[in-house]
Amino acid sequence: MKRRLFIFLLVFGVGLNANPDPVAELKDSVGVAVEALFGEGSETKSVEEKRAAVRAAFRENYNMDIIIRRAIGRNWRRLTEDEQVQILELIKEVVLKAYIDGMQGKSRPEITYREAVKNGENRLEIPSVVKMEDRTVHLKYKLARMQSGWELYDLVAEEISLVSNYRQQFDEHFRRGTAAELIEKLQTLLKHEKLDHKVTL
Amino acid sequence: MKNKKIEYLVGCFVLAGLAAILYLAIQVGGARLLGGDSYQLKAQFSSAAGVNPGSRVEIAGVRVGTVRRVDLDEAYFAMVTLELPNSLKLDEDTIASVKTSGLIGDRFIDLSPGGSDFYLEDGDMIYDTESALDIEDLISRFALGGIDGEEK
Repeated sequence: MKRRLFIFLLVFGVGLNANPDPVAELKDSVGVAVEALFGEGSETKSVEEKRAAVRAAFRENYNMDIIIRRAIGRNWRRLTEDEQVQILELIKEVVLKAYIDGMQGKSRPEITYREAVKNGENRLEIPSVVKMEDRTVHLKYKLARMQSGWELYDLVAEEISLVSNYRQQFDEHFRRGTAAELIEKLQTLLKHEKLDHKVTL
Repeated sequence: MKNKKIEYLVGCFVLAGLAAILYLAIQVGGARLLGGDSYQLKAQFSSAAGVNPGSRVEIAGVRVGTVRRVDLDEAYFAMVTLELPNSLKLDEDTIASVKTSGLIGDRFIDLSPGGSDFYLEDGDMIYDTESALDIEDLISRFALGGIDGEEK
């Protein structure tokens, strides 16, 4: 299977720390992203307006830092502070662009949540089924209680971990390449007219 | 007097031999003497098929430890105990995957180190795990739909 960025489309890292009920908070945050593109009056909005709405919802409701940092894994320590900040921001922009581009012209996704499964006191898994057009994806949200509260730290689509998948790509990149080259790659991705779900590093 | 000295030397020789055999047995058996220089981590898998005590634990293809135990936990998941050297510091976001050497080779545990700066300690659990790819399951999913495409 191709490593698919589209898994990110509905499932950005979610800041869940404010709510004592992480399951309800997760559902709300995913709902905000869907609503921004498919909510009432969205059909009359221009692409630019949708982009602005998604960007605002994204900035307000989502915290992707944990997932991105976990995906970068051991390579995180090789980055300078400036590079860390720059790479985090660029990846967020790539994900945002992939979400908007990938959802354009598609029908509203249907998300069904199943009962959350506790794994000890500090871990929680929320299985769900996402139906979008002719595609059905079984998605598992993995949450952990961290110092900042409940945070989403991984997504597992069809038994394939998003963090693990992208960690392999980052490992492969850093085996030969540098942080500057990664920044350049990400900047190039953002210049693409349209990002589809086949985007890889 | 001379006989006593010889008997004493023979006794020492026998004791040294026994100690050497004991040491060899401990080393070959993988047991630890006086605490040791390793620590143990646990990892829960939905399936640890093919992983046994003694299986390799690797990072980037380099052997770094050994599987000490494979048990069934109270939720009927496989609980694998890994033994690793103290010199190996692993972050809390390390990912443990069951991998196969080649197509039909031995199963082993591959560790992908993280970068969270929170280190795992003796007895801690690796929560991010991946079981081996089940080819039969994959084929059936492709045949029946539900993976990476249309449902049939």
